Amino acid sequence: MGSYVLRRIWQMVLILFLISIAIFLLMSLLPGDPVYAMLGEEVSQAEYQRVYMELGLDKPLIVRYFNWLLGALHGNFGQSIQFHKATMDVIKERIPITLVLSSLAFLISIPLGIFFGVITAVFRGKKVDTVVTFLANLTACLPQFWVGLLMMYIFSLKLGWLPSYGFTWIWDDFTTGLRQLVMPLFCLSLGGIASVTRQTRSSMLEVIRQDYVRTAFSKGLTEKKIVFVHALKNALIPVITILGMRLGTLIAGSMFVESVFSIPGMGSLLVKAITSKDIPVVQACVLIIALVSCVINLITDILYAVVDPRIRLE
Amino acid sequence: MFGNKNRNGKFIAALFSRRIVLVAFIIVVLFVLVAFFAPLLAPYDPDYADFAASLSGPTKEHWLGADSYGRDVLSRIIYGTRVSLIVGLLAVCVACAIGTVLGMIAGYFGGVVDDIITRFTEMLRAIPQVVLAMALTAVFGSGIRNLAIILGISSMAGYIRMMRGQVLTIKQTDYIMAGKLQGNRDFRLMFHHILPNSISPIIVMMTQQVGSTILAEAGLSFLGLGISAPTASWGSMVSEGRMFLLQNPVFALSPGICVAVLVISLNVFGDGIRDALDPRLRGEL
Amino acid sequence: MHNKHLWEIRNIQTCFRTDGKNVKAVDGVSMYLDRGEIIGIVGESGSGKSVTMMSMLQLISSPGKITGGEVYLDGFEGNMLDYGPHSEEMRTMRGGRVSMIFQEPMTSLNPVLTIGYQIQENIMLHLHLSKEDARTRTIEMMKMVNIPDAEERFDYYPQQFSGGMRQRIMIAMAMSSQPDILVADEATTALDVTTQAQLLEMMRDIAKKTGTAVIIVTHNLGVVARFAERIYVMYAGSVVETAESRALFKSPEHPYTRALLRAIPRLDDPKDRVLIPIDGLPPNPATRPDYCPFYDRCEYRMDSCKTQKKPVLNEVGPGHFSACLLSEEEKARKARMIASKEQRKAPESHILEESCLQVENVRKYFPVYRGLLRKKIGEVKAIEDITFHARKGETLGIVGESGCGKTTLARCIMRVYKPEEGHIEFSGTDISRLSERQMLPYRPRMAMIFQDPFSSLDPRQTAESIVGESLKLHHLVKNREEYDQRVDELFRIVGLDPELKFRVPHEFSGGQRQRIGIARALSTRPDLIICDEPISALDVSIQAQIINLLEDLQSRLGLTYLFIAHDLAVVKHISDRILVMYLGRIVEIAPCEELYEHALHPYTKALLGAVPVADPEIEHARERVPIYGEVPSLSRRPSGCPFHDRCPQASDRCRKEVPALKNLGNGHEVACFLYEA
Repeated sequence: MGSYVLRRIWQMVLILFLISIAIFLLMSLLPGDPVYAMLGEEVSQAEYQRVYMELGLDKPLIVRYFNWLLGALHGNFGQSIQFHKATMDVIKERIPITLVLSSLAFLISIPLGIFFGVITAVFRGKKVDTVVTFLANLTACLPQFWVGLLMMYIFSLKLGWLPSYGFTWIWDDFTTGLRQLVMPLFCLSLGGIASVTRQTRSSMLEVIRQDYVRTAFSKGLTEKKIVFVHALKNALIPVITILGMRLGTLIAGSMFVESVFSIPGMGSLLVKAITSKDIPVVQACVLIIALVSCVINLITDILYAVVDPRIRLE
Repeated sequence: MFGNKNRNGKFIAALFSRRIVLVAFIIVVLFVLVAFFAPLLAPYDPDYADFAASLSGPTKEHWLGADSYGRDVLSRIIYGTRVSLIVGLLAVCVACAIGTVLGMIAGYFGGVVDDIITRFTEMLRAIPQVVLAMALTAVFGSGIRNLAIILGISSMAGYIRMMRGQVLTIKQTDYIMAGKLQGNRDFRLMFHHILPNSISPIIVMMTQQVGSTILAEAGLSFLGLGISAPTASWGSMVSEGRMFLLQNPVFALSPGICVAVLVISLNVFGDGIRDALDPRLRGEL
Repeated sequence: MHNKHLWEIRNIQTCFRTDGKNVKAVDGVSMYLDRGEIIGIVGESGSGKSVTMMSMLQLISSPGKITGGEVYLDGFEGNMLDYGPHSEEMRTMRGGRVSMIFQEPMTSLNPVLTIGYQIQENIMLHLHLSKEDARTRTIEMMKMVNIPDAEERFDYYPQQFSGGMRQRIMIAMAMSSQPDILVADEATTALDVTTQAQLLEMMRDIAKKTGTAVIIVTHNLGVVARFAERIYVMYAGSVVETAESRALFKSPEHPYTRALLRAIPRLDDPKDRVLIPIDGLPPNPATRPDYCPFYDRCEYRMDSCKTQKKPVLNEVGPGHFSACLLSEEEKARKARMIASKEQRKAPESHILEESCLQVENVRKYFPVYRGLLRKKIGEVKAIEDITFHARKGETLGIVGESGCGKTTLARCIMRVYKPEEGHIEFSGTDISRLSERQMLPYRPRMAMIFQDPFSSLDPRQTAESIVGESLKLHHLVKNREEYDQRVDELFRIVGLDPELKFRVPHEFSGGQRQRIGIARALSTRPDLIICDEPISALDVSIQAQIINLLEDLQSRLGLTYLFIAHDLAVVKHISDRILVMYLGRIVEIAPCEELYEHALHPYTKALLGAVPVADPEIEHARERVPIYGEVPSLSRRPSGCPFHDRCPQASDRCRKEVPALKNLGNGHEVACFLYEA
């Protein structure tokens, strides 16, 4: 078990290192002069030189990479071009918002998805199954941004029940914060619920066919015990593996939701940074998102080993 | 060959044995036809601006109203079908072609090659698809062709993993051993024996990925990182229309409905193909 | 309703719905069982024996359905099938009164629950004990089935045990609720012969001690002959014959039983016995006729059989029933006709003095990697010190249980693996060091026939391109016409209609697929063919067809065979000389008759003793060498003689030194210190 965790951590570090190289290389391929991007075209020759040297653009690529990486490890991603302040300061305000949104959506969608998945598998072929499975298939195909707009049109513009944009921490203003949270969270959780439901259902149906479930039936156990003790424990194993992916998808999904509801999170920051070619911010955002999803993947892998003795005992 | 025809017939019968798959198939075909005959079907030129009609709701002249420049929403949706389908199909082809070959090489040769490809795959998987695609659009720019390649690359990891797994399983079978003992070379074993046997889950994956790629394209365009103005694409139309949600909700919401209907139909059809190819993969016994 | 039997089923009918058709898997089966009795149900795959058992416990799940019949169990009122599958009564019966052990030990236990939990759960449910008492009983049960360190292993997971151990756990679990009936559904089929013998004996002893009745469901006639007191023979969803064990084997009445006994090779056969295969295939359950289901393959058939309905069981002797329409006189007349028909003679073998294959000191190790950087931490010694030879035209049998290295040896000879050490001389050339490219000219001269007819043929190729691929690869034909001719010829050689050559593998039956595999092996006119368990995946009635085909081909084409198998009866039937392997080493080599009559190595003796013979009379008279424990995994091979920890005659020397193979004259070689003067 210990060596398994160590191996996973080592793999994660390796992947993150490779990703950092890839991001840096990609961004240095970006067309356009970063100095001009920072200071505008009408810059004096001397000023240009100064910034050019300051950014270390005269050094070879590999040196620049390691300088950047060293900085990144200390939380220093350089100066944001569009905000004219340290990238990390820009990101620091926005990360918590995105993380809170996606973790809340995660916490909502996982139990609900597992619940619906078990229900549909146990009652397969019955009306509950048909309806829930149909809804899950449907919602998995709806574009999040469109659901957001639709809700905004109905609940904000037509009915006026909920505010159409913004984000307030609930400790600053409880009711406003909560009211602002309802639609983005719903929107974000919907896809998660749908896909966890589908995954759990198919995993349960697969497990129900296994020989050991037949053994459990031949022992005369009640159906309830077979489903919740013998089948569910096995069925959850493949579901856990997708949980890591889920959080990554939720972070990606929060981009749309943040964009629709004008929430100042990391998603909207990344979009803005890309459109304005703010390289340091793009690099930092992508690397941080990769770090978060790698850590989540690591946690799910460990969780996976805890649930599945086959891995633990290897 | 008798056997072949019989098998194909059986496949098609199994495919359409559920009515919903047939319905989905018909819808997909309709979308394809719309894309193909867009110039004939669209009542207006998608770029023609009738400023007088600007932001009007549905009228007799403009069934779905007009956008802020007075362009006909219906015509733009019809032309947008082309963008969605082309990007979706192209991206899936790119992903499948590169992914399948890389996966096969990794699984077949193993060792260092496998390690490198596997690390590369894990790298792709560590970054959420949309984020990866966004970062790539920043570098390579957007437009239909670039978007197709970018979405292809960002969804490639699944094919590599699937193919690698397939090859590893098939490599263990006796018929590959027999092929080797008969004196087959690596290349022939890979393309003549392994590929045909591992292709069906890849096909299933492709059919299921078209929908999600279209969704991703719409999303990128919505964020302003995909297809940009003046080309009509569903995602960017929603993005333009959101400002005028109160004046003309149909403008913003109708392209989204198209995305949803097309993606649902594609997914149902994809599931149908999966079930018909391999009943064991089916979610029901 | 008065029940005189402990358990009785009447006229069970079970259907499976596939492709919109109702397929009768079980078609009117009736049986009974008395307290403490051991009965056997034999039949080939698809005969409905397992489905019958599952039906009685109502374990049939969709798309299967029990469409009729009655099940009575002493202590329950009325027909058990009238209670729903999830009713209180059925759940008390399942597990509590009737326990079942399934075939697949690797998948029948829940991988995420400890074995202790799984046994304990059964005890608490049926014996209503407290958790602590149930735990005590669980450990008692585990000790009863000889699981060492039972207390400690209570918290182990199934995957920490070998297949044999898992099946012991299944037995412990099944017996833990003190059932009246234990159903063993092919419970030992997947295990090694020595483990199989141990488990069946243990099961019988426990059952006799506790008064539990046992139903042994198997395809192996030897197993029922050794263990069952009464036997039901099933064919195509029906019972065709039932009798006391001795009566059944002494005077089989139904043509199917008779044919089956003539088709299977036995350990006590004389060398020149001719196997008489049953022609054709069992009927497809979807298209099973109304008349006698065995009609199409029956040697005794008469025209009247086809016009009448499916026969029912008639009493032909005391307690002996047979489902055949023919009268005694008709059968006797037919039997005389069959006996007077000219029989196929045992093919002659032409063994030359010239050597075809000479293997010397071959060794193959596999590296074991572990840790962060996948550092090599050790090696698994797959085979060591392998020395033997095979002459042209000879069949050399290679036997041994799982992990003995027989497949690794075959792959070294075929040069799938490169041996670390030693020489492999094939037709005078040492091929052990050749590169892949240098091997190319030798590839057409050696061929292989595989075990599994389902995975050895590329499912996407037609039979024609499978058989003809080598012809193209090695440019053995000049043009298309010659190619077609040669492919057709190969089809005819193996007894397949060339018309079928454009079909793909899954359109053939198992036996036909194996014929395609043989045709592929023959296509390049090889000198040496390695047969890796070529018949063990086939039904007993088909096995004889393939054995006969292989023998015929050898005498016609002068082939040399290395025949690898775990079934000693089959190996004995086909081989000229036999090589016995254990944990990567050769323990004994001897000519066929010599080995079976004067086996020297304790392992060979134990192995021979473990194989059941399909004749109760002989079974009861046989002496048996007991064998302990299971084959250890290769990575835990004991030092010294690999067999010493299971050997009843092991001495200190065996624990320290590895005995070398020693020639004792007349080609009998053995690696054991007992025979060192």
